[in-house]
Amino acid sequence: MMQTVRRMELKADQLYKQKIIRGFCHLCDGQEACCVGMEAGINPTDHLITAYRAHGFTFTRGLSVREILAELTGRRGGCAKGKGGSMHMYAKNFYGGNGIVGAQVPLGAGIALACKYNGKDEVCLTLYGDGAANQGQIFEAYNMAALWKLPCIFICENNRYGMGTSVERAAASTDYYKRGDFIPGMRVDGMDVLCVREATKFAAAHCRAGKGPILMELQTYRYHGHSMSDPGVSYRTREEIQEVRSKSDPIMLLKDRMVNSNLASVEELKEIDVEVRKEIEDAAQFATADPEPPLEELGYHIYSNEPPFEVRGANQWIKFKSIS
Amino acid sequence: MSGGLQNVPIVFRGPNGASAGVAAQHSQCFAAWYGHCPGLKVVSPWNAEDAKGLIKSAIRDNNPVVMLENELMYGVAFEFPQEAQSKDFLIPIGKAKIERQGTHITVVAHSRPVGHCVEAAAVLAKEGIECEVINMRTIRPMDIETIEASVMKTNHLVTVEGGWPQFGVGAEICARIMEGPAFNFLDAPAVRVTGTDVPMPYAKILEDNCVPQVKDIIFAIKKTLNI
Repeated sequence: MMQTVRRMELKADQLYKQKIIRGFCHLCDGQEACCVGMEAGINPTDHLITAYRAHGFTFTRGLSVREILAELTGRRGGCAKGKGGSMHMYAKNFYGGNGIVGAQVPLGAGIALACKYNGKDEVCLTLYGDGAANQGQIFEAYNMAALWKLPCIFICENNRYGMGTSVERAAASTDYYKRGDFIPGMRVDGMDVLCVREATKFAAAHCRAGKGPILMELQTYRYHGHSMSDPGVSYRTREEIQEVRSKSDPIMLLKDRMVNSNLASVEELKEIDVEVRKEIEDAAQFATADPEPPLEELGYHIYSNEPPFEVRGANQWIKFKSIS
Repeated sequence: MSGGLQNVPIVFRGPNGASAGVAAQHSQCFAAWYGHCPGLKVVSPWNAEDAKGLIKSAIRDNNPVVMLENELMYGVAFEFPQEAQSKDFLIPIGKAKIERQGTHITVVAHSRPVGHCVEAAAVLAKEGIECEVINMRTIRPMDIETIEASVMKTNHLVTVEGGWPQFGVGAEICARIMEGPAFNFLDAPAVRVTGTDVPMPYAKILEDNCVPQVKDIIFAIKKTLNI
């Protein structure tokens, strides 16, 4: 799975440079252990919400690489029919894909409230980054989640840089796992997929036992810059990026473990890589060849469950139909 | 609120409105939102001269000023007139500028659409239609006098904005024209050209049809003039 996410993000990088993907594109290569490890620690019936570095989570929550790449290229085969783009991808029990920094955290607490209300033993993973961790709305969410004992796992994906600002320059306390104050927190090695999985399982069990929210800080790293418009080397050195790549790359760490414990041979892992490459190539082909969404559907899906109505275009003589 | 005791000399500036491919959460125009609030001043520059003159006036103003810039305009170069290069060059807040004189119709816009209006006017001039293009420069307090004087001369009005139609800048202009002397000089109902009334989609073909284009402005002008 991690290999698929890695290759998918690299393919997105390629397509962006060819200008086939436009607008925003925030890649998560380097952070694969987080999305894959978390998914392994929860059930498909649990819920997850994150910010804009979301392609990996979109995949682990069940969408295909095809749908994701086609959404990035703005085609009708995309998961949001080409209307959402990079930051607005959704799946069952996956609430995006949110562009506004930190705004997803109160939403996540709300989903946890719904989980508690519905009484089905589900939890909500509410993710945010080291940059968003300093936002006021996060602390408001902490307060309410703790007060009402919501089954919310707050997860800070600390990749050391909030856009171009290092954590030392942004936060008075870089112990993000302690920022929840009255919420118990743990610091997790975000480059080790098994570590992430076990920590997530522990956290989920804590919430399901009705003990209230819990906080996890995943220490991870992103190889790319903040987004495709950021080369990522003006605020950190190439040496640093290289060091992480050679010593802590999540895929390399897992591979080494598997080979050294005789769980898999190097050939078997190579085979997986070949299959992944093929899957990504097929998806990219589809994403570039699929046609754009039809103009008549511009006004669709504004409301849900609503009888059809008319949408005004650029002037009063241009009209689009809107159906739910 | 404080009875004149506490003033707030602050400027908020940043990109506003649609950019390119940034989808729903990053394309909204807030001109109508901020323009709604008494106590705020709201300015919206189009070209380089506007940007410089307005930011200086905004900073020197003792009131909260919101400056709505446009991300796509940051990279566009303009001719910078001599007087604008002085360090005390100010553009007064609350005064619109007539970018192009005309006699047949008044076209009012702010920010990036002003450029589209100037383009549309150039195209229509070849057909003998002379548009008077007004660059609002300030949303609040609105310079309705300049717009009224122009409408009283041309008898027709089209407003252009990037924001959504409902409860927007164009709607306010039309309402004020009706309340003032210019209403009796209108030969046709005023027309608004706006962004399409949907959250901004991502796919290029959809996005292109969600922002007012030169062809939409030309169409609206011709319809108003009954051509």
